[in-house]
Amino acid sequence: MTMKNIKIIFILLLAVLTGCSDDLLNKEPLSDVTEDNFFTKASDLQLYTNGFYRLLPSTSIYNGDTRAGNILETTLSEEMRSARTIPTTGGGWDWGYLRDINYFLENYQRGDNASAIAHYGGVARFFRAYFYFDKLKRFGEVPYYDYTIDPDDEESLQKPRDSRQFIVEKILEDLDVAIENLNQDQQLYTVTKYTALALKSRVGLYEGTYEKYRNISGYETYLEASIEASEELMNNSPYKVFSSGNPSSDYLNLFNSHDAVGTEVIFAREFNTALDVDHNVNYYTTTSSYGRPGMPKDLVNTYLNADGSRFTDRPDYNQVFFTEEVANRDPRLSQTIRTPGYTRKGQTQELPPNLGATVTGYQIIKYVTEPQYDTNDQSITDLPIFRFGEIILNFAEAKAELGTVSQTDIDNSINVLRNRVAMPHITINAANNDPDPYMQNQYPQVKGNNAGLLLEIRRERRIELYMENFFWDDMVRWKAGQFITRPLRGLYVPGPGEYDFDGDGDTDVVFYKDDAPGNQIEGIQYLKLDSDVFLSENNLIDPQPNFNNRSFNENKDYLYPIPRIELQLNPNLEQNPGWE
Amino acid sequence: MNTIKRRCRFLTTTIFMLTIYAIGTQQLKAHSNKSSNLDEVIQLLARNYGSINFVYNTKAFKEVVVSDFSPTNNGIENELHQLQQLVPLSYIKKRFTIALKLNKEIEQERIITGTVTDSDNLPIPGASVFVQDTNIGTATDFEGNFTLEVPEDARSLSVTYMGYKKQIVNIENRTEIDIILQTDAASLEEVVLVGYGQTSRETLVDAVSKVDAEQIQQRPIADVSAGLQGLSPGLNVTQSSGDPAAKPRINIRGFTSINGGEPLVIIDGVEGDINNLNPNDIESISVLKDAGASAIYGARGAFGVVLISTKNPKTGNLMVSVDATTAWNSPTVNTDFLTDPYKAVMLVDESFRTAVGRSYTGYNEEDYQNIYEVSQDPSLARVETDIRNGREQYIYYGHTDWWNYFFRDSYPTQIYNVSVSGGSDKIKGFFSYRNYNSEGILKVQDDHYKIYNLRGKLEMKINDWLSFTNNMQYNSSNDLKHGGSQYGWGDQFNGNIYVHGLPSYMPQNPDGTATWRTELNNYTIGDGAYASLLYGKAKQETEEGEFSNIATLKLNPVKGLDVTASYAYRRTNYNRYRRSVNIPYSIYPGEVNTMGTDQLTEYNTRFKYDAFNIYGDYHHQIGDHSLKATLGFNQESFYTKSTTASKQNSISDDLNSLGLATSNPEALGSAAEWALQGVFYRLSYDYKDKYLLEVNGRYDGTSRFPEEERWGFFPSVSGGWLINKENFFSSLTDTFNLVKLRASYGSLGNQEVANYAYIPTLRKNIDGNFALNGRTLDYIAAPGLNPREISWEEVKTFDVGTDIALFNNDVNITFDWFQRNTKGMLTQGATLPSVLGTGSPQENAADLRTRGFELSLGYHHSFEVAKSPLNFGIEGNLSNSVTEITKFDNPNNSLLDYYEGMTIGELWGYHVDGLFQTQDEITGHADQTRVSNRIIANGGLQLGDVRYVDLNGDGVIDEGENTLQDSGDRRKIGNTAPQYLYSFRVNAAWKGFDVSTFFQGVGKQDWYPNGDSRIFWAMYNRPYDTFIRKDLVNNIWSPDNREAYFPRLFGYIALSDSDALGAVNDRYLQSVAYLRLKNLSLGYTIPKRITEKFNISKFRIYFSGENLFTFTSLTDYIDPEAASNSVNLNQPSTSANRSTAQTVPFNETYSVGLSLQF
Repeated sequence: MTMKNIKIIFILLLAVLTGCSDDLLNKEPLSDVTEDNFFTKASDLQLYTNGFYRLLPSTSIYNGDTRAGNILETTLSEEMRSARTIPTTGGGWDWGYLRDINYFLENYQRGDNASAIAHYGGVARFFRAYFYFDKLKRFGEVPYYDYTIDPDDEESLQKPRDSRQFIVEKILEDLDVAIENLNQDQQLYTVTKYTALALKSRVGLYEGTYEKYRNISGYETYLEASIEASEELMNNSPYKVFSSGNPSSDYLNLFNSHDAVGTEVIFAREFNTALDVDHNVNYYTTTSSYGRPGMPKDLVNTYLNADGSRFTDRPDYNQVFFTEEVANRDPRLSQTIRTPGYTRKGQTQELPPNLGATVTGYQIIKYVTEPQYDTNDQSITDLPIFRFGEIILNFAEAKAELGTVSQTDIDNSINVLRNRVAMPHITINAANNDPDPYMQNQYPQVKGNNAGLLLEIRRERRIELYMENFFWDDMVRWKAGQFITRPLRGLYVPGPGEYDFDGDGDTDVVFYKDDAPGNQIEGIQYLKLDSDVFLSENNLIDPQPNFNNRSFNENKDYLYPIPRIELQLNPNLEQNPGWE
Repeated sequence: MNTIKRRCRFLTTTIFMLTIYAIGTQQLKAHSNKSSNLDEVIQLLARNYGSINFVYNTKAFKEVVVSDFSPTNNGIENELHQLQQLVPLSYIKKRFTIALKLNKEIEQERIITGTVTDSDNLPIPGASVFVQDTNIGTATDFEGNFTLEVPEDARSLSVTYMGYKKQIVNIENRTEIDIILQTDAASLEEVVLVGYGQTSRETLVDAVSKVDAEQIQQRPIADVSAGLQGLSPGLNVTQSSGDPAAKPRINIRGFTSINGGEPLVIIDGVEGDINNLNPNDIESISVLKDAGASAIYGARGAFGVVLISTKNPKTGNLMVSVDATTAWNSPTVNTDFLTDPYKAVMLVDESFRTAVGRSYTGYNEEDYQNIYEVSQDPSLARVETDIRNGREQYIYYGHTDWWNYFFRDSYPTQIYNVSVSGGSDKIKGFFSYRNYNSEGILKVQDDHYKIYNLRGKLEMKINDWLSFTNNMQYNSSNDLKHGGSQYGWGDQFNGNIYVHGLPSYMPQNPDGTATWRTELNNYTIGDGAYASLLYGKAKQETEEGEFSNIATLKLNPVKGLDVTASYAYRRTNYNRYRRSVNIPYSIYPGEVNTMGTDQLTEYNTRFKYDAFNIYGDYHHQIGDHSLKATLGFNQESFYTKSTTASKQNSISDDLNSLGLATSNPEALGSAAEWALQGVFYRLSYDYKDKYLLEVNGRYDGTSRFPEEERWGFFPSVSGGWLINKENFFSSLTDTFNLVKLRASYGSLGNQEVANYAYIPTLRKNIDGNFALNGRTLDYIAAPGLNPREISWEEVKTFDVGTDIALFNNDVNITFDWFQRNTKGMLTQGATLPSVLGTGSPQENAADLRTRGFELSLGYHHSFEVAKSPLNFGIEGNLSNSVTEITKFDNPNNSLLDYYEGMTIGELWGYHVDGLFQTQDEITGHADQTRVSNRIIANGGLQLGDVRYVDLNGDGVIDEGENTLQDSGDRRKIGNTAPQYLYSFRVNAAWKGFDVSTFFQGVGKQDWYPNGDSRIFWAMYNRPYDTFIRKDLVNNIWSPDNREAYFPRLFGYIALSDSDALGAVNDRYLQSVAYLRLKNLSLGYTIPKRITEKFNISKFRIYFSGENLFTFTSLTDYIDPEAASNSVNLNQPSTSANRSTAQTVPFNETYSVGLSLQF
C-alpha cells in the first residue's frame, strides 16, 4: 500500500467519523410534558387543578376592609380618597386563570377515570365561577368566554361585554354542575361540593341585592338561588357554628387557631411555618410601619350592649372614655379589638391598646397569634375564604330582602351566631317595630316592612364578618356608597392628661400639649396632641384630618376602570361610566 | 430527516473530493518547475513547505543560477540536501525557520556571538541576525544563540524576527552581543487568528482586533473577561459586582437583539467559557466584530466572536515559569456612613414620623438624652437592662459603625501560577497550574473564593504529514459565603443588612448573645442578617468542576492542503448547598431564643458538551493570483440536567447533609438538550497582495427550530485594497507602511431562543407562596401559544474600515464604522387584548438597527536614553454604538413596550424644576397626586417638596396615555445605555524597568437610582435604612437649607414610582459616566547576567494597582460601574430597569508579585 493510499483511507475514515446521525437535530423536551401524554390519570387532573388555587386571595382577606374604610390606616385607601386612576395595564384586568381553566375543561376528559373526571371537572367549574364573580364585582359587565381563545379569533378578541344577567347565569350554571359533580367529603383547603354551595350562596345574595337596590327586575331568582344553596349547607352538611361554650373566647379562637377550625370553616387558604408560606397579620396589627390599622369608631358604636340594648341610645355615646365604652358590650368587641384584660395568645400579661400601632386607638386582634409570630411575614393562621357563619348571614339577609323571612329563619341563622357569644336573640317584630336610628342613618336606603330587621342583619354582618373583606362588596351591592363619606374617627380623648386604658389603675397613655412632660415613666406612651394625635371638634381621634371632606360618585365609584390599553386594543369594549 | 442525512453526505463527500483535487494539482505542479535562480528555488520550497520560514539574502541568492533542480516532496531536509549538490549552500534549521547562506560569503575576519531574547528573557530561536546592509547573516539556535563571522568594517547588526520589532545594534568593539527584541504589536506580518485559520494584519479584510494577551496577565484578576475590559474597541465588558466570583458580561458592538445574543467564545477552536480559563495560559486573543470575520461561525457568530488560543508547547529544554502575586482589596466606595447615634436617630425618627405619624425607635426622652451623651462621648456606648412594658429587657445606647463591625477594610488575594514547557520536534508538552485564592470582605466570618486551573497540552508529530495534539483542561472553583437572615437563606448583600441597623443599636449584648430586635419597637436589626453572620452557620458553598479535552489531528496529505479534525469533550458539574439555620438571639437578659428557618438545599447541575470539527485548508498560487480555500463541518451537542433537593430541621447546625435533616423533603429536576450542525467555507483571493477578496459562509441547522425552519445559510463577502502598494502611492511609501481600505457585508443568524420554544409544553411549576394540604403548591398550567413557524433572526452587518500604519509602523490607526440590522427578531406578536389569557404567540416580527464606530490609535517607539533603549507606547480606543428599533408591532406606540423609532436605553421621566419654596407655589400648582401619592395622602404638599412641572399644561402631572403621542408630562430625559466607551494606555520600558498605566471610562450614561437603592436614597427609601451616607445628611431641605438637593425629609417617598422621588425625573437623574485608572503597574526585571548565576533566566518583581482613581460626578458611596450594572445591553426591559447598586463593593486592589523563569 502506498503512502498516498494510506492518506486517502485515513481521510475517508475521518469523513465517516463525522457520522451524521439522522436525529441529532430532533430534540424533544426532556422534562416537560405535552398535552398528548397528560390528562390521563386522576393525579394529572389534580396536579393541573392545583394551579387554580393560586387565584385565591391572601392578605387582602385581613386588610381588604381598608378599601371602604372599615379598617383605618395611616394612609387612606385610594377608594376613600377618590384617588383611583385609570391604569395603563393591569388593574385587575387579568385573564390568565380563565385560560388555564378553559384549557383544562377542553382536555380533562381524555382519561377513563370517571369519578376523577367528574370531581376535577367540578373543581374547574367552581373556579371559573369564582373567576367571573371576581370580574363581575370589580368591573361589572365583562365579556364571557367558556373556551380558550385562538389568537386569530378576532371576533372573540374584539367581543363587547356580555350582560350582567348572562354572566351570573353562567356562574350559577357552572356552580350547579360543580355542586353535582364535586366530592362531598369535608376538606379545609380543597374545593368540595360544600365550597361550591357556599359560593352559590354568596353570588346569589350579591347579585340579588345588587339588582334589587338598583331596581332591576328579576333579582328574586338570585336571592332564591342563594337561599337554596344556604339551606342545603344548613340542613345537609357537616358544618355548624363553632362553639365550645365559651362566649368570651370562642369567636376569637375561631380566627387565631393555627389551622382553620374545620367545624365552621368550609374553605380556607392554608399557611404553614414549615413551608415558609406566611402572611403578616401579627406584624400588621402590632407595629407602626404597616399602616397601624384600627377599627373605626362608627363600627365600635354599633356593637350592642351585652344585654341587647343599643349603645348609641345613650346620648353621650361619643363622649364615653374607652374603658367604660367597651365594658359590657357584645363580647365580640373584646374578641376583635384590645379591651381591658386583653392578653396575647399564649401569654398572661394584660396589655392596653398600643396607640402607636393603631390610628384609631381600637387595636385589632383578630387572627393575631402568639408573639413568636410577630416579625415580618411570619404569621401562619389559616385565612378563611368561606365559613358557615357567613352562610347563615347570607340566608337571613336573602330571606329578609325577599320578604319571606320567618322568626325560625332568624333563629336558625343569626341567633345561632348570637348564641355563640351569649347575646340576646333578635326578634323580627322587635327589630321592625323599633329600627335603630343610628343604623338608619348609616343606611338610609333601607326601606319597607323589614327595614328594622334588615338594619339588624347589616349590624350583625359587619360585626361578625369584620376584617374578612366583605365590607366593600356589601357597600356596593347595598348601593351604600355615601357611607364612605362619613367622618372617620377613633376613640374619645377628653383632653391632655393621664389615662388608664386597661383599667389596672396605672397610667398607660399621657396626652400632652406643648412641651413633653419631664421625668417620663417607662412603659407609658406619651403622645402630643395636634402632632402625634389629632382630635376632632368633639374630641374623637381624627386619624385623617386632611380628609374630612370626601365624596362618592354614585355613577362611577362602584366599579373600577378598565385599563387604557384594553380599550385601545378592543374598540368594542367601553369604559365604565364616569371613567372615560 | 433524510434531507439532513443527504446534507451530511454531501459535506463529507465534498471534503473528500477536495483532497483528491489537491493531490492531483500538486502532482501537476511538480512537473511544471523550471527554476532559474536560487531565490526562485527557495520560494518554490517555501510554497511547498508552507509552515517553514526561510531566511536568506534575497539579493545574493538571485545571482546564483540553479541549473537543474526539481523538488521531490520528500521532506525539506532531503530537498535542501539535493540543492547542496548543486550550489555551495549551508543552512541551519531551527523549529520552523531555516536560515540559508552561500558558502562563498565566508571571509574569515571576526566572530561575534550572542543571544537573542524577548523582553521576558525567553530565547528566540530562528531569529535572523545580519550584518546591516549586507547578506552576511545567520539564524539563532534553540537557545537563541548565534555565532556570526563579520567583515572587519561591519558597523552594526540587524536582528529581525517575525512579530518583533527590527533591532539595529552597534557592534563597536564587542565580540559578545546580547539582543533583546521588543514585540511589535503592530507588525504587519503579525499573525492574527481568524475563524478556522489565521492571517496577517496586512492581509486582514475584516474588522478583527487583536488583544495583547500580556495585558491581562500578571493582573490580580479572577477571570479573563475582567481583564478584557477596555482592551479592544467595541468589546464591552461590564461587571456587576466586586465579588470575584461574579462573572463579568461581555458584548461586542452594543445592543444585539431584544432576545439577547452574546459573542461566541471559541477557545482553541471549540466553544468554551472564557471565565474558566487561566489568564496566563492565553497566547493570543482576537475579537471578530463584523460579519466578514464571523460568518464562518454562522448562527452563533452574529454578535461577534472572541477567539482565544492557548499557549503551545515550545521545543527545547524544559522551561519553567513561576508567578506569585499577593493582592489587597479594599472597597472603591466610601463606607464612612453616619455613625453618630443621636443624629441618625433624629433623622430616622423624623422621616418615619412624616410618613407614618409615629416615632420609629420608641426611645423615650431619657433615652434620647442618653443617646445624645453617647454621641458626644462614644466611650459611653452601652447596653442597659430596664423594665419596659412590664418586662426587663435590653435597651441600646450604642455608637455602632455596622459596616466596620461586619466588613473588612481590606482583604487579601493570592495567585500562584506555574507552567512547564519543552520537548523535542517529535513530542513536546505544555503544562500549567494556577491557584487563585481570595478571601471575602466579611469580617466576622471567613468567606473565600478559590480557583484551580490545570492544563496539559501534548503535541506529537507522528510523521511529516500527520500530527496529533491533545489539549486537556481541568478547572474547579469553590465559593464559600456566609449569609442568612430571619427569612432563611439570604446573601450578605441581598438587602437585609441595609435595614434597621441604627448606630444606636449594638450587634451584641453584654453576655455575647446577638441582638436582633429591640422591644421598644418591633423591628428586626438587619432583618436578622447581622445575628446570622455572627452565628456563622448559615452559608452557601458552590463548587464547580469542568473537565475538557480537545484531541486534534492535523494532516498534510499533499502539498498545499491541511486538514484538521478535532473532537472536543467537556463535562461540567455544578454543586451548591445553601444552609439556613435557626439563629440565636436575645432580647430579655438570660433568655436566648431563635429565629429563621433551618433548611438545607442542595443544587446539582451537570452539563455535557460534545463537538466535532473537521476542516481543510488549501492554498494555491498562480503568478500574481493567490487563492486560499477552507471548507469544514461542525457538529455540537449540549445537554444539561439539574436537580434540587431540600429538607428542613437538621440535627446539626454544623454538618450540611440532607441525611441529617428531618422534615419537609422536596425535590425538583429538569433537563434539556440541543444540537447544532453546520458546513462552512471561506475562499480568499488576492491579486498581487494588493486587492483582497474573501467570501465566507455557513449552512447551519439547529434543534431549536421546527424541522422546516431549521436550516439557514449565512454568507458574507469582504474586500480590501492596499492603497500603499499602488504605483501612484509610491512617493509616500516611506511614510506610510500600510494604507488599507476594507469593507464587508454579511448576513448571519441568531438562534437565541429557548430550547423547545416551538413545542407546546405544559410546564410543571411550584408556587412557593401557596401551601396545599401540607405541601408547597405544585401544579401544571396551560401551554403558552407556541407558533411552529419560528426561525432565525437575521443579522446583517455592513462594515467599512481602514488600517493605516505610518513611520515604520510606529503609528497605527484603525477605524471601523458599522451598521448592524437585526431582522426578524422573535417577539411576542402584536399585543392582543388581555382576554386572550396568555402572551400573544411569538413571531419573527421585530427589527432593530445598531450603528457605531470603533477607533484605535497607537504610537510605539524606541528611543535611546542613556545608551539604553527606552520603549514607549501609547494607545487609545474609542467606540460607540446606538441602537434603534426599526420595526415593532406596537401600533399605539405604547411606552410600555418597544416602539418603532425607540432608541435602546432611552429613559422617560418628568421634569422637576426645584423644590417648593413658598406656599404660593403650592397653592397654584398642578395636581401632583400621581407623582407624590404618599405625601398627598399624608398631609399634602409642603415647603421643601419636589416640584414637578406640568409640561402639557393640563393641570395634572401624569403619564397621559403613556404612549409616544401622549406621554403626559413625561419626556425623554436621558439614556441608560453606556455611550462613548474609551480607554487609553501609556507604557514605557527602560533598562529592566517597566511602567504601564491603563485608563478606562464611559463617556456618557445615565442612571435613575432604583426606588430601593438604599445607599442612594437612605431615609427617603425606608426611614430605617442602616447606612446613611454623610453627603446626603447635609443636603436635606429645611427652612434653613433651602438650596438643598434632597427634599423635605419624608420616609418611603423613593420606594414607589408614584411617589416624589420614585417617579423618574430629571432632577435626581444621575450621570454614571466615569474615567477610571484601571491599572497601574511598575516592574523591574533583574539583569540576566545576575540571574544567570542562579540558573534563572528571568526574574521580575512588580507592583500593580487596580481601580486606583475614579473620576465621576456620582456620589462616592456608589461605584459608577455598579450603578450601571442592570443595564444589560442584551436584555433591557423598559426604562424602569434600573439597578439598586447594592452589591459587594468593587475593589481598589494593590498587588505585588514576582515572576521567574528557569
